[in-house]
Amino acid sequence: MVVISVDSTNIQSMPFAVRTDTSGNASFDKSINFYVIADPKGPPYTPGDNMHFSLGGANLSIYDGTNLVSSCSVAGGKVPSFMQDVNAPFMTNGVFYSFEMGTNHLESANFEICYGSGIHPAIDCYRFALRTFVPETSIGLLLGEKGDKIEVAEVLPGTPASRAGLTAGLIVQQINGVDSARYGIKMAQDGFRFGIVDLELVDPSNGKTNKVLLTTAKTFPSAIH
Amino acid sequence: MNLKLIPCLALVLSGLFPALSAHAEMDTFQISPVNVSDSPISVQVTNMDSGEWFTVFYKTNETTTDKFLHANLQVSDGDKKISSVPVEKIWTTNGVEFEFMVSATYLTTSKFTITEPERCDRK
Repeated sequence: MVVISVDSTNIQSMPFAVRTDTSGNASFDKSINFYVIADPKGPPYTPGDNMHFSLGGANLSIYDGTNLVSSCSVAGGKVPSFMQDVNAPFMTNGVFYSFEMGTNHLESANFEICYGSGIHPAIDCYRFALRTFVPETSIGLLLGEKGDKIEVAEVLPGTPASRAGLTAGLIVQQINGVDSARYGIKMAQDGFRFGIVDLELVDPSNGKTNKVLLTTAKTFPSAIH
Repeated sequence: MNLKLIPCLALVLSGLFPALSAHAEMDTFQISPVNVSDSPISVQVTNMDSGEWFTVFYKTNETTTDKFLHANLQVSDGDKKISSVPVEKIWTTNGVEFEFMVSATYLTTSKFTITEPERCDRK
């Protein structure tokens, strides 16, 4: 069996798509619905080979740390019409998996999609951590250290920070009126996840200071396609 | 779909084995060691290093169709839901098998449910 780990670097080329939905749950903090739409055919090893889903399957394994909580083969079905933003081949021929996960065990829950071939001995299993596809609440800033200061290391696209025009390299001088040095990176990053964030930023290229008020929003990791 | 017309056969997993306690309400049947022999269900439990491996066999009849037969495994930690997953059907002679593993830690709060509409011979 060949296990292919799926993350943000290779998700775009995988034979499946993943969607999450929190709207039907009483609280986003408690559970999330996952929808996985898999192409019934996997990438062939050789032309004419036919890596097919029916010779593999889909499996959900949940751990508590390193201890197994549960594991089972997940039943698939036709892709329902309510699915949006899914490529046409997946909508027409895809196999649809729907399951609900509590947020407490997302960190160590893995979903596997496996393909087999009648003429090739290997079974290809694509494995991904469900956490990869969970929406996060943030303003979309990743921080780094520059000397004794905290700087913006990365601005995630499609987030409140990118919409406000923030760019990597800006120095975070104050967070909610408090000197950022008093936070430290981890606390500052955690503080960006909830509510309204008041930032005072310095552009080191011209020494100008700017203030921005950002409201956190649900953002998705770039791994989703 | 009218849920009142759907009899459900529910297994409650408790203790180290499926100590199957039962009650019936409407068209829902909870399976226990006491009544499992009167049900279309048989259960095999194998103790593995990482948990209990369940093989549940559900005897089908001529009215059973793949389209309307469903099974779901719900694993919880106390009152917190860990997962709720439709379990794959493995069609065999005279019935369907379901396989899954649950850690002994979570057996008492986990539930496996088979749903089939209008199974009149089981009422």
